[in-house]
Amino acid sequence: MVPVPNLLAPLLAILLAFAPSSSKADDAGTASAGLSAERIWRRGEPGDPGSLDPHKATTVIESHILTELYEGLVILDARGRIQPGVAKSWSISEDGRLYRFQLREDARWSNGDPVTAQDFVYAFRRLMDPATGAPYANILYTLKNAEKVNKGLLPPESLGITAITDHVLEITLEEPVPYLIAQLAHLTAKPLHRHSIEATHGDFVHPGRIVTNGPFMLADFNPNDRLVLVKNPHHYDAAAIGLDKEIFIPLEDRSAALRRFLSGEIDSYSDVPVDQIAFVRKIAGERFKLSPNLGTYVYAFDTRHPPFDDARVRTALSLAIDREFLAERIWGGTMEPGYSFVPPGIESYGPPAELTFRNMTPFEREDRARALLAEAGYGPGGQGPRKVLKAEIRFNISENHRATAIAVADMWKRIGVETSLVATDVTSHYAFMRERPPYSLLRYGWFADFPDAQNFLFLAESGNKGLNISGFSNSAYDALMHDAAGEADATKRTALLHQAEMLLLQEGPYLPLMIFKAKNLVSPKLHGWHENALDTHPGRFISIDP
Amino acid sequence: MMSVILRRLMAAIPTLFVIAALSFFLMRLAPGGPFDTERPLDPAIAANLRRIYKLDLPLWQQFLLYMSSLLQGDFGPSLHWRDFSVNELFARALPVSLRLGGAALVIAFCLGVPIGYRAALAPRGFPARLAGLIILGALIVPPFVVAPLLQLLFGLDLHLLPIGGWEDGAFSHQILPVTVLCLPLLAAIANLTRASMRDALAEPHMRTLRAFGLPARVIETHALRAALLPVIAYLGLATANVLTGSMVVETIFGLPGMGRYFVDAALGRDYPIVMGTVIIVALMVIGFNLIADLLLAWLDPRIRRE
Amino acid sequence: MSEPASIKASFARSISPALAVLSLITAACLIGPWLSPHGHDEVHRDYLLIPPSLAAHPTKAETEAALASIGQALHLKIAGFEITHSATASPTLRATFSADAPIDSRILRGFTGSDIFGEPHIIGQNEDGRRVSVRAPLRSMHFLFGTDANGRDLLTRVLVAGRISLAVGLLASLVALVFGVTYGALAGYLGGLTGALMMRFVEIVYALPFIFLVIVLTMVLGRGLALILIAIASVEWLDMARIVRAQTLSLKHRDFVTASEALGAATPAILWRHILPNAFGPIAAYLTILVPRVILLESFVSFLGLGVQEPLTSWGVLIADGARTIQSAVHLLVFPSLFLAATLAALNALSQDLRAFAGRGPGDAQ
Repeated sequence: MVPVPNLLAPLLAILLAFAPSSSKADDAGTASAGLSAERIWRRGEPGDPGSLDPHKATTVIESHILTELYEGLVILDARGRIQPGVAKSWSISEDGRLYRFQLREDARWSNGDPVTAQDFVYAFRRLMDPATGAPYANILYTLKNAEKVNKGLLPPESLGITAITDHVLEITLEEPVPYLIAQLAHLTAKPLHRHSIEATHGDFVHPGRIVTNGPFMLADFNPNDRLVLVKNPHHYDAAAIGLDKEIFIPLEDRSAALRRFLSGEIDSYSDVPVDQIAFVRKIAGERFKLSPNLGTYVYAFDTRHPPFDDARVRTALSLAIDREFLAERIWGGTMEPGYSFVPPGIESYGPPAELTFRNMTPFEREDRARALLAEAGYGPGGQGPRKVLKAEIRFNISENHRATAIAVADMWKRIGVETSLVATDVTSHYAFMRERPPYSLLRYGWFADFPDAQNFLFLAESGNKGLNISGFSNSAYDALMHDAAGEADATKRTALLHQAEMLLLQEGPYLPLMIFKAKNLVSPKLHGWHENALDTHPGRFISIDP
Repeated sequence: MMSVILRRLMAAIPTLFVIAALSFFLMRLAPGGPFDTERPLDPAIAANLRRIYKLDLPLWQQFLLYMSSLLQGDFGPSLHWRDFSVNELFARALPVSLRLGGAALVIAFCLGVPIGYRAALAPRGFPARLAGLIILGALIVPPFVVAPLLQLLFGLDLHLLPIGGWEDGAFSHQILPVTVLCLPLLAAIANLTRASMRDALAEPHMRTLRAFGLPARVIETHALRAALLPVIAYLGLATANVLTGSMVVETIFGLPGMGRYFVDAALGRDYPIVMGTVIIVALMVIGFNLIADLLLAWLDPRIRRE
Repeated sequence: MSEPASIKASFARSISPALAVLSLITAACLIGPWLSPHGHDEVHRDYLLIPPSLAAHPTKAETEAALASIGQALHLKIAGFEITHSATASPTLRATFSADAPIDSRILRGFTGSDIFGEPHIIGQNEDGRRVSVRAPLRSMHFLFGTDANGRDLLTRVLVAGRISLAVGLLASLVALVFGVTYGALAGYLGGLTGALMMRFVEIVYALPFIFLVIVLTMVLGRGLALILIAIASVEWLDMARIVRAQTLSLKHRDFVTASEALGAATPAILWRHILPNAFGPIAAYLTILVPRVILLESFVSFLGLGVQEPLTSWGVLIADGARTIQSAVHLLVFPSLFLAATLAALNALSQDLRAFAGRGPGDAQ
C-alpha cells in the first residue's frame, strides 16, 4: 500500500468536482460579455439594507435604495435639491398648516396601476399605525394627530392626510413647520401599493412580489452578496433613464472595497479607508471625491452630574481642542473642523453660529481654558485646594474614533486634565447612550434626516428624552426652540434658531469636534454624478459608459 | 457499532438543549438590544417594537417560545434582515460556507498529511526543513494579512483572479478564499502529522517489525495509522469551525456565507440569528466529533474496545 | 542511551539558541520600554506615520512643516528662516515672523509642546514689533520602527505589546497543558459514562457563542488583561483535551499500562508515567499551533472593544491595525509580525529540542 498517492486521489476528485461550476462560470462570463450593451452601475456600499419596507428602514444605505424603488411627492435630484416627484405642484394655506398637492396623472406602479392620492393616505396611515412598528415614524409627527395615532391614542383614520380626489392630496399639520416639503423627501414618506401588501399579509418585500413606483424595481436580493435593480418600464420618465441596471454590492471592508474599485470590479463606493487616506489620494486621484455633508461629530457631556454640569469646565475642554489637527491630520482631511453645532450647507439656515474662540491663538485659548478650570476649582497652581479634573471618553470601537480620542486626551493633558478611554462594541455603546447611567463624555454623531437646522438643534431640547444624550436642560433654550417651531415667518424663525444655536455653543453640552464630509470613489465612467451635501445619488440622473 | 452511534445520537439531544439554554441566557445578559442603533429610537416607539417582537415578555417565556418554534425547525425572524427569516438566510449562506470550507478542508488534509509524513521520515532533509518553514509561516501570518496580500498580487498586480464577490460560486471567485481558509488548517494538520508520525516510528514495536525485516513501506503505513489519531481528534472540532465559515475571509472577499452572521449578528444583538448560528455549530460539533470518534476506532483497533 | 551528563550537555547545546531568542525577546519586552526615550503612550503630533529609519528626526521638510503650522496657528507670516548646523551644538532654527500689527511676545508659547523645537528665544524685534526673530534649537529624536497614526513610537509600542501577547501565549499554553491535558487524559483513561460526559461538556463549551462569553465576562469582571486571559483560556483547552483523549484511548490497553494496573499503580501515576510521555509529540505539536492562534485571537477580543484598552496594546492588535494599512504604511504590519514570528520560531525549535531531550527524538528511531 502506498499511502501518499492515495491521499492525493480525493484531492484530485475535489478539484474535478469544481470543474462543472468552472465551465458554468465561463458561460456566464461570455453571456454577460454578449450583453455588454447593457448599462450597469455596480455600486459599492459599506453595508446591506436591513429592510426594503420603507416603514422598517432606518439607515443611509436603505435610504439610497428606497430612493430608487419608490418615488414620493417630492424627490431629490442629482445635486440634492428638492424637485417635484409624484406631486407636480402644491399650495400652502395662509396659516401654513394645510398643504394641497396636485399629483401627476401619468405616475404608474411597476405593475402598471396608476399611483393615486389613496396610495399616500394608505402608506402614511400604515406608517403611524402602532401595529406596523415603524422605527422612524416620529420624523413625520409634524402631521396632525400623528403622534397620538402612533401611540395608539387615536385611530389611523384621524391622521392629517386626506385624498380629495385620485390626484389631489391634502396634508394638515400640527404646527406650521416650514420644513414639511423637505421631510417629504425622506424614506418614510413614500407611497405604498396597498393591494400587493395586503395580499401577502405584509410579507411583500421579495423580487416578483414587491410593487414599487420608483425609476427602478427589485430584481434580486441576496444578503451580503448583491441587490439588483432594473429599470421600471412603467415609470413616467423611463425613456430618459440612462441605466438598465443598478447592482448594489455590500462591502464592509473598506480596504478590500478600494481594491475592488481600483480593479474596476465596482464603479463607485461610498466610503474610503480613512486609515490610509494619503494612499487613497495618491492612487485614486480625481476619482476620490470629498464634499461637505450634513453630519456632525461631537462629544456629549453628561450635564446632569458634576463636574460637567459646570459650563466653565465644558468650555475649558472645548477651548483646548485643536480641531484642525483632528480634521486634517487624524482624519486626513476627510473631516471639516467643527466650530458650530449645525453643519454649514443648510440653505434655509445660512452660515451657522460659531464658537467665539475660533480666531483666538492656541495659547490664548490655553490660558483661557486654564483660567476657567481654575475658577471651577480644578487644575494645578493658584489658590485654594485644586483637584485634577478627570475625564473619561466612551466611544464605539473603530480605528478613527480611537485615534481621535487618543489625540483629544493628549490635548487635554496640556491643560492638566487626566483622560481615560473606554471603547466598547457598537451595540453596547448605543445601549449605554439609551440607558444613560452617569458618564463623562460620549462620542456621538448625527446626520440630518432632512436639511433643516431644527433637525440638529432639537438634540438639546430638554423634552427630547430619546436623543438629548447630554441631559441638557435650559429653559431659555427650550423657549427659543418652541418659539421657532410656532413661527410661520421663515426669516424670523431662522433668527430664533440662530439665537438658540449661539446659546447652545456658549453652554456647550455638546462639544463640537468635526463636521463630516461625504467620501466617495467614483469611476470616470459614471456621468451625471454630482457632489452634494445630502450625499444622495439617484440612479435616475446617472448614466454610465459601457 | 450501530448501538454506539445510536447512543451518541441520543446523548446529542440533552447536549443540544444545554447548549441552546446556556447560549440563550448568556446572550441576553449582554447589554443592549436589537433596537440600539446609531440613532436612538423614540422610547415609546422602541417599547412598541419590543412588544411586536415579544421581547417584552419575561425571559423564560421567550426561551420557551423560542424552543417550541425551534422544535418545529423554525429559527424565527431576523431582527436585522427584517425581510427574511433566519431559515431563509441560512439556506442561502450555509451552502456557500460548506462549499468553501469543505474544499479547504479536503485540500488541507490531502496536502497536510503527506507533507507531515514526508517531513517525519527524513527530518534532517532539505524538504522537511522547507516544510517546517512553510508550516511556521502559515501558522504565524493570519488570514487578515494573507487575504489582502493575495488580492493585491493576483487581483491588482497580475489581473489573474477577481478580488472579491461570489458570482453564484464561479470557480475563479473561490480560489483565493479557499487558499486563505486552507493555509492555517494545512499547517496544523502537517504539524500534528509530523510530530505523531515521528513518535509512532520511534515506538519499540516498530523496531521489532523492522528487526523482522518487514519492508519500510509496510512499517511506515502502519505508523501512519497511529499518526493520524491526533489529526482526526483535532479535526473533530476544527471541521465544525471551518464549515461554518470565516468572518474574516468572507468579509474581505465579500462572500455571502455563514461567517458574516457570527460577528454581525452578535454585535447587532440579532438574537434569532445568534441562536441559529449556535445551533448550527452545535450540530456540526456533535456530528463531526461522532464521525471523528468512529474514524479513531477504525484506525486503531484498541480504541474499538471502548 | 548515552550518559546522563552528555544528555544534559547536548540538551544545553541544542536548546540554547531557541532559549536565547526567547529570553532576549522577553527581556526586551520587559525592560525595553523603560530604556526607550519614548513612552508607549507618548503622542508626537509632528511625527504621524513616520516610516522607519535609522536617521535622526526632524528632517528639513519636517522642520519646515512644523514652522509653517506654528505660523498658521499664531496667524503670523513667516518672513524668513534658516537652519544652522554646527559641530558642537545641536542644529538651530532662526525664523522671522511678521504681521500687520505688533506681535505679542507670548508667541514663544507656540513652540512649547512641539516635538521639533527646544526652548525658543526672541533674538530681535523691529518695525515696532511687527517683525520678530526667534531662535530655537532643534530637538533630535529617533524612530527606528517609525510611528503610528497618533505619532507614537512603534518600537516602544511593539515592546510593550509583547508583554501582553507573551502573557496571553504563556497562560493559554499553561491552561492547555495543565487543564486540557489532564482533562483529556482522564476522559480517555476513565472512559465509560464519565468519559462520555466529559466529552459532551467539551462540545457544549465549544458551541457557546464566544463573543457573548467575552461581553458578559466584561460585565462581571470589568476590562483588562485578566479578562482576556480568562476568555481565551476558557475556550483554548478544548482541542488539546480531544487530542490527548484520543492518544490515551489508544495507549490505555497497551501491555505496559495494563501491567502497571495489575501491579496496583494509582491512576495519576499511570497517566503521568505511561500515558503522557507517550502523547508528548502531539501535545508539543499542538502547542505550536495554539500559541500563535491565541495571540491573534486576542486581537479579535480587542477588536470587540473588550481586550486591551488604549494606550496599552498587543502584537495581535498591532498586526490587525497594520493589516489595514498594508498598502500605505507597511511598517506598522512588518515589525510586530517579525517579533511574533521570531517568538514562534523559537518556541517551535524549543519544542523540538524538548522532544529530543525527552528521548523521543528522531535520533532514537534509527
